[in-house]
Amino acid sequence: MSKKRKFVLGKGLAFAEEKDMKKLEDYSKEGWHFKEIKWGLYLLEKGEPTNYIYCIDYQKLKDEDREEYIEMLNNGGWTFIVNYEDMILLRAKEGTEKIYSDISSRAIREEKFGSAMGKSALYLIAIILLMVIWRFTIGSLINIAAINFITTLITAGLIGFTFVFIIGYFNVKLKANKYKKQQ
Amino acid sequence: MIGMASDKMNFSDNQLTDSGYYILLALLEPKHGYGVMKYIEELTDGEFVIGPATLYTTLKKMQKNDFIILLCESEDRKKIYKLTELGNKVIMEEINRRIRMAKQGELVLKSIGRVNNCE
Repeated sequence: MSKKRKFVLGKGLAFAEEKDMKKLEDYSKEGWHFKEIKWGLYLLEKGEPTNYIYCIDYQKLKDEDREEYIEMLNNGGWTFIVNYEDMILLRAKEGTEKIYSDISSRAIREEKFGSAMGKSALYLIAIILLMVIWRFTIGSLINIAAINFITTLITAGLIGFTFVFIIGYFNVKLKANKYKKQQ
Repeated sequence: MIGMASDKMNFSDNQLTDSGYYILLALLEPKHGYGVMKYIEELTDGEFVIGPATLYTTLKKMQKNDFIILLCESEDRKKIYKLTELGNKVIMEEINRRIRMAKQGELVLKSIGRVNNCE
């Protein structure tokens, strides 16, 4: 029997990471537990109401590091839920100590967050370039109004999204610097 | 300036954070990551708890800085860390630096006639 599922919209991890985590915590109290991110949305699964806390870590996890990292987390009371490249979603029972216990390691995390976002922004820009090239080469040869309209629309959407994304990127960079200065 | 080894690294100007200090202390004898966590907890009677991501991140950084290296993997395939010569030098100097700092604290208390209630 498949479990009941639902999707919820987040505010965006670059802008409101804490708010999003708080949101997941509130859902868990009602028995809706985070499972994965799908199409930019949080996918929740119905279970027993539990007071969970959530957080996100950024690590470059090579295969040989993975087991060690997960073991350390488990010993600190945290459960590895899922990772998307360097971004790792974690869950623990309420009251568990935070995964970062000092500012200098936390500053490294913010830096990794920044570079993970930078990488995603580069992918986005590459896709936009491809779309623009398509529009002005093959697109102008075939010249079907409907297709051209759709590619233009998608490109415009992507440019808008990338713009927001880049603002988020600088937002994160700023936060990383803040942690550095506190050291 | 209280002297610290200055060749090669930039580990927060080569002064150890409290986490870095306890991790290197734990690794005066080779251990795996989980062993470090447990050792610190027992050593400090639970007063100093190191977060798992802080432990992981700091271990990675110390490997990069040549303070520690991986011993070959043990039979249960767990990674074991040990101090390098540099790491050994850093922790020895850091222990002494912290002893001096504590003594200076006591000296100040004594010089102004305050008793240290925490002893």
